[in-house]
Amino acid sequence: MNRKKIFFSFFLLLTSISLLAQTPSFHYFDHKKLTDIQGQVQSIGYEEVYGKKSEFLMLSILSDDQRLFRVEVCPQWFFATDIAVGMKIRIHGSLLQTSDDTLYLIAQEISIKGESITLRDSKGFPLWSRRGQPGGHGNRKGPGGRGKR
Amino acid sequence: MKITAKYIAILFALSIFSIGFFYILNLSNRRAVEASTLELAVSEGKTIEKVLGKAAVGLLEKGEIHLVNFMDEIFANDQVVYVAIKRSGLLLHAASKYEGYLPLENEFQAVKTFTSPLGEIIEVAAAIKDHSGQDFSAHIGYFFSAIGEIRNAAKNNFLLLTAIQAAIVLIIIIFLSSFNQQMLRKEIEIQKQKEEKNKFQEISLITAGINHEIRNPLNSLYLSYQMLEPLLDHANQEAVFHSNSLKREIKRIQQIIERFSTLSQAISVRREEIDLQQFFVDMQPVLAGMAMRPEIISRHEPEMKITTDRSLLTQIIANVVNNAAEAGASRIDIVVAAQKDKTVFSIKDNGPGISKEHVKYIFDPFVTFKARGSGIGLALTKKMVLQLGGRIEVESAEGRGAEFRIYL
Repeated sequence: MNRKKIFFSFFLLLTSISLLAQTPSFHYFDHKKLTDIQGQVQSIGYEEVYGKKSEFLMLSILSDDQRLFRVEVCPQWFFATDIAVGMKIRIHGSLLQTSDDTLYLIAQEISIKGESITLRDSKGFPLWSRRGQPGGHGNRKGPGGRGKR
Repeated sequence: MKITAKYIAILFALSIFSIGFFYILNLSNRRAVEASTLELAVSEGKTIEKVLGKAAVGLLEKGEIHLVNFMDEIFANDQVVYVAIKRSGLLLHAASKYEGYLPLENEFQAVKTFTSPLGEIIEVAAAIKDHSGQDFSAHIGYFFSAIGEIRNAAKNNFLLLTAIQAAIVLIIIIFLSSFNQQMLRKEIEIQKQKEEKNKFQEISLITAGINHEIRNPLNSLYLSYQMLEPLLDHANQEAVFHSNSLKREIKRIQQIIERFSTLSQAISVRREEIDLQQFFVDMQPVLAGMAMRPEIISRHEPEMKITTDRSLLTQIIANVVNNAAEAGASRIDIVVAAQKDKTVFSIKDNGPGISKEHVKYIFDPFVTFKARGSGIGLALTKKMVLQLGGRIEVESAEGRGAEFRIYL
């Protein structure tokens, strides 16, 4: 029984690490594909998901129905709440379809320990961006995303 | 007072209506500016959509890569928030200046607007077909910062204009209200003066009648006394005593009649510039001649002058001082000061004061609260003050002296 648990945990860890490395080349918040998930934090990482802009907080979440999600949260400087592996978490966001069938979620709102953190507005506008200035912070053109050809 | 309350209610309703009217007017103006700027932006969008469609068709003939590069060039523009190219409904290429922000509202319409934290975003979509018949659509989401500026200016102007108009309305209302109050006060004052004049006229008539009826028999009485007086036995002390008593009482009645006459007679005014320093020096003998001799202290600013009737002013001050002295005051302070366009004579005593019930009748003729008063002194004083175009008021409390203030 213990061996099974250890093996399963190891498997999850490996999967999480491999998932963190798989960011779709271009992705966007599709406000028509919103979903809610609830689960446990499996791993926490930081990644440059939008070119050379600030590193993003990335989580891998094992949902209560045992599905593994890769969750894009927000730039790490914007997230001021303590988060740790094993924590229960609830996420509302936009689910992306990736070519390798990874469940990729762009978070709009996160609830941890009863605290709710809003990250994007209803259309997916990032709340950390300075209003009224195209490009926000970062370079003028901004990496945005590059589509698949 | 009922009229005033009604008037104020009307003014209040009028002000609310005016402010509301201006608010609606300004709001509709603001909305019109906002709508027309948006309309302008949308019409610009339609032009862009046509140009984009034509350019995209040309570029597709050279291959997709040319279209993508063209869209990237468009994306470099400051006003553009995102660009996207779809092929048969699927996303082929996209770029956004805000991480993952690609609302792609426009599926069917050529131009669509929607609000965002950046302001009003206009999305233009051009439908394109390449030479093989494949459907493409190019999407540009952009905003005009000028629209935001115009809208902000419209909003600020709306607030400023409404505030200014509300302030003007309130100022007018306050002015009208204050004017109404002043008119009402004046009306009451005129009414009061009219009533007092009528009262004096009635009293004058009565007094004139009494004078006429008493003066002649009294003269006969005094004449008879003068004829009897030499026949009197001066050795008879009792006869002398009664004779003197008779003479004194006749004189007293004559004096009373004389004062009554003064009250009923018209007072003539002869104005001149008076130096107050000299005036109080001249008043010394008048005040010194009083039966009671209270301590009198007068104060005023140096070289103070007043234009009024010297004789009447002397009588006014003498009457008030005499009244205080008769009431039992041992010290009287006369202070003269300039107040706005008036000169105020404050005559304050340390006498027994006047009760609250008596104060309101203190200037009425024939009303006296002193044992030997006739009730003429203060009534006459008031008549003289009014004749000089001034007013007199009293402030007193029982046991705490009295202060008469004469405004000339």
